[in-house]
Amino acid sequence: MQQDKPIIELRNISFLRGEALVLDSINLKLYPGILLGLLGPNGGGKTTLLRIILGEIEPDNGAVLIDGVPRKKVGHDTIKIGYLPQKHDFNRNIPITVLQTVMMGRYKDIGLFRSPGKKDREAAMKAIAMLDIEDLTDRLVGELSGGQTQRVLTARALVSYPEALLLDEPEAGVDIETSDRFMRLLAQLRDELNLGIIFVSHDIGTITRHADKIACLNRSLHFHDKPCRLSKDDFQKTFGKECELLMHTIPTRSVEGHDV
Amino acid sequence: MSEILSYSFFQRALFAGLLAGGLCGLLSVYIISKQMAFIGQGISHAAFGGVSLGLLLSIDPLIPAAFFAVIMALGVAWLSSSGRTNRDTIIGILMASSMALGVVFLSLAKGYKGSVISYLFGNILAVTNKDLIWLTAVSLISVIFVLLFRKELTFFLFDERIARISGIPINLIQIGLLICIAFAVIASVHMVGIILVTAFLVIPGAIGQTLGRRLYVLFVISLLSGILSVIIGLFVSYLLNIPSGATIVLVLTFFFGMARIANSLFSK
Repeated sequence: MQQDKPIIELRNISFLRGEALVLDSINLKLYPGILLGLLGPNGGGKTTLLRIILGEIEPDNGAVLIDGVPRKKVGHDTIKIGYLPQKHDFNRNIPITVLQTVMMGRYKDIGLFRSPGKKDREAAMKAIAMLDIEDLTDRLVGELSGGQTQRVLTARALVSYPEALLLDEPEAGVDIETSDRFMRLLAQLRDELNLGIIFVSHDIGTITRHADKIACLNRSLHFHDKPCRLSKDDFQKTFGKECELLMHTIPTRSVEGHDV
Repeated sequence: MSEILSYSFFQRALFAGLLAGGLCGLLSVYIISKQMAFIGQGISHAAFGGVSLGLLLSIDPLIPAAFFAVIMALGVAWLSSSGRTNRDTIIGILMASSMALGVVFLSLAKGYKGSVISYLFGNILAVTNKDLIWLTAVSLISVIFVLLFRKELTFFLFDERIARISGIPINLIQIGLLICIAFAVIASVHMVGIILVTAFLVIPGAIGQTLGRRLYVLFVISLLSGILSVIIGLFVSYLLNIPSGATIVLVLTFFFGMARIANSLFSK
């Protein structure tokens, strides 16, 4: 499954917020067809790492490479990274339909001064079909549930045919059942589109059930191969000494076994 | 009633009003959706500094007013881009400074200063042919900008962060929009005056937002509200012999009240 050339590569990334070291010498490679779960506590640097990959903030040290080329040299035009933010804090005051929302993911490709054409509409409908939300096409996105919104915004992230998808705590704000279904859908998209996916979470259950590889981030990054064998020691290194592993997050359902 | 239409001053007023009403109605959707009502107030009050400078220098006050309004718009975009100071704080500072400059300029100006009242409260009879040409030009520029960047503007309204991440030139879009708002303020000054122009930039969009269930409907309602308020306001102000600018704003407020009532009746 793993190919030679990573889609995203982080080389020795460090980031300071004031005097505080948020990220310390992070090295990471994301390959096509890999679902990488990024686990860590709140404030551990997960979202900061995604923002660096997306080019929203610059690291104090190190380099981000996209398809082997430094991010700064690539520019927005050729970067094919879809992104699902943690908070769905779009503007709910304007009446935008699901189709219009998904279509926005193609605006950069369409270019300035041009209107979406047949090809763009087809791409949007294809992304909508992939996320199984055809029945929502003409609904107003501001009136959807958390799980439905999550799918719509994922369709928007996928509509420009990205090579990689970054998801920041996709389980936030949706129930466990919805989150589990969504993660299975992500695994399906990974296989069908050969996507490299990074999904950030602080839910150890979600990560261990669905990720191909797991990385724990709390300022520094440590990798764990699947099948996941996170020891109590690994867990406490990431979340702190006061943490104890207690129970599964889905007490009423039988899920695939794992070692945590 | 029909005789009024034969007066050239009223024809000019109506034409200017339709342009200003349409332009403000169009931009009002962006102002309301982006919750930028304060920027309209900031830019219009900044224009007061320009009007006073024009009176001091004995030149057409609309020229320095336009300059002040555009500087205000660019200043807000530039100073708020770093994120260190809240946009509303910057607007408040620049607005107060410009007003203060206006007071200083007025105190230095010699001779008759009464015409400043027509800029503060609007005087439709003061619209000249030169104003109409200027108004037509800025309206065209604004409409062309909105049409050319309509999809980027929609993305900017809906999800600014993701639009920026995906490579949409958000700074350019924001500056362009603020300059268009500055143009609309200057275009409306003769209609409703500096003090009431905020209402002209806010209420049409608020009406559209109350009734519109689709984005294009929101634009149509906002545009029509702006235009109709001018037509009705002008006739009512003529018939009752009351100030035109204030009447237009009151008509808009009446429309908004009706929209809210209709919304609460039909949404049940």
